[in-house]
Amino acid sequence: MAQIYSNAYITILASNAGDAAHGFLAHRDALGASSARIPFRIAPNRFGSITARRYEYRSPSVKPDNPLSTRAWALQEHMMASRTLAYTKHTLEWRCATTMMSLNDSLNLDLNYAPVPKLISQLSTNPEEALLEWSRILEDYSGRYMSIQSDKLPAIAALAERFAAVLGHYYAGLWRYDLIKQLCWVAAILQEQRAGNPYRAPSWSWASVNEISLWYNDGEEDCCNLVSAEVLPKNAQVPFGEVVYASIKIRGKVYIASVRGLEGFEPTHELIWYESVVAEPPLQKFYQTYFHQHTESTVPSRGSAFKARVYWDCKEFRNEPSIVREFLQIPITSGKQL
Amino acid sequence: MAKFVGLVLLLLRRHWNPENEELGRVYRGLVLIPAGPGIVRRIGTFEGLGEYDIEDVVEQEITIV
Repeated sequence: MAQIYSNAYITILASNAGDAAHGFLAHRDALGASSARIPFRIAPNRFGSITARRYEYRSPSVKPDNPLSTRAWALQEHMMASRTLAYTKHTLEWRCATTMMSLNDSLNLDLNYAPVPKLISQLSTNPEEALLEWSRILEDYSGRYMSIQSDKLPAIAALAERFAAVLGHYYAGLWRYDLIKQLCWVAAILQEQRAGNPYRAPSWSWASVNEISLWYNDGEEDCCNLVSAEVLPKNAQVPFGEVVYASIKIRGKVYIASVRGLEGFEPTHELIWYESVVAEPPLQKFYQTYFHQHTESTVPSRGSAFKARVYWDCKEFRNEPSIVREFLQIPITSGKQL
Repeated sequence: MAKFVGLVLLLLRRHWNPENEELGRVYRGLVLIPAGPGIVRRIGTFEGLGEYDIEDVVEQEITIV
C-alpha cells in the first residue's frame, strides 16, 4: 500500500470522515475564534498576511478533530503521498513537497506539532534532524488507534524504510543511530494492554506500549553503550515489519538503591498498570518467589501485598508526577541476581 | 518507615542543570527488572534523583528483551 500512495499523483484524504460510509463534504466551521490574520509588507508595493494562532499544547491523550488522524495506518499513507488534498473538519488543505495551503488561509492544526505529518519527501538527510522528526512522528503515531495490535510496527514500516536511508539499522522501532537516547521514552498513559496480549515488540521498544512521550534533550551524555542488538522479524522479507523477538545488549552502570517511602496508602488508579505487569507469567513467578518474603503478615494475599507496596511508592511520587513515572521497587534479593 | 531495597536501576543519561546547581547532575534512566540470568525487562523510566540511597553500583553488560 505504501507504494500505491507514494506513486499516486495526488492523494485525497477524507480526513473528517469517521469511516468509509461517512461523508466528508459537510459544512466546515473555520477556526476563527482563536486565530488572527496579521497583514505585513512583502515588498514596497506588495502586502501579504500571516495567520497566527496561540500555541496550545495538547496531550497525546487528546484526540485530534479529524477521525482520519486517529488511525495508525493512515499516518504513513498520508506521509508517503507526494501530494495531498485533505478535506478536514475546518478547512480544505493542500500539501506537497514545497508548500502547504489552506482554503482562505484557514487553519488545520490537527496535531501537536504542526505541520506534522510532513510528507516523507521532505525528510532531512541530516541524521540528527531525521531522528528528531522520527520522535515527533512517534508521539503522534503511538497514540493512534489500530484494530490489530500486532500492526504496531507494520503500520509504520514504510516510513521506517525511508528513514533507514538516513538513520541506518532499525531495531523494532528504534535506530542504531543514538539508540541509547531513544530508550528513554515514557509511557503517556497507564499501560494495561501489555498483560495478556500477544508479543508485538521488546520491552525496550516504544512499540510495546501505546501512547508515549519522548524527551530528546541536547547536552546529555550517555552513561552506557550499545554492545549488540538482535532482531528476528516475523517475515524476513519485511525487515521493518512485525518482530517475533528482539534484544539489545548494553554495557553500563546498574545502581541498586534503597528507597525511602511514606506511610499510608489508599487505592489508586496507578495500581492498574503494575498489576497488569505482574499478571504476566514470568513476573508472576518472580514475585511469588521474592516478593512474598517481604510481605507484611497482615496482608491476606500476594496480590494485595503487592498493591500495598506499589501504592506505598506511588504516594511519594505523586507529588512530583513529572519526575518519576512507572516506578517499581523490588526486593534486594532480586537485584543481586543480575 | 519501611525500607525496601533492590530497585534495579540503570542510569543511562545525565546532564548538568545550569539553573539549579544545587541539584548537581540530574539523571535520566530506565527502571528494569530481572527476566532471567543476566536478562532484564524495561518497565519504565525515571528522571531526577528521588528519595533513595544508592547502595551498590555495578558496571556490567545486560541484555534487555
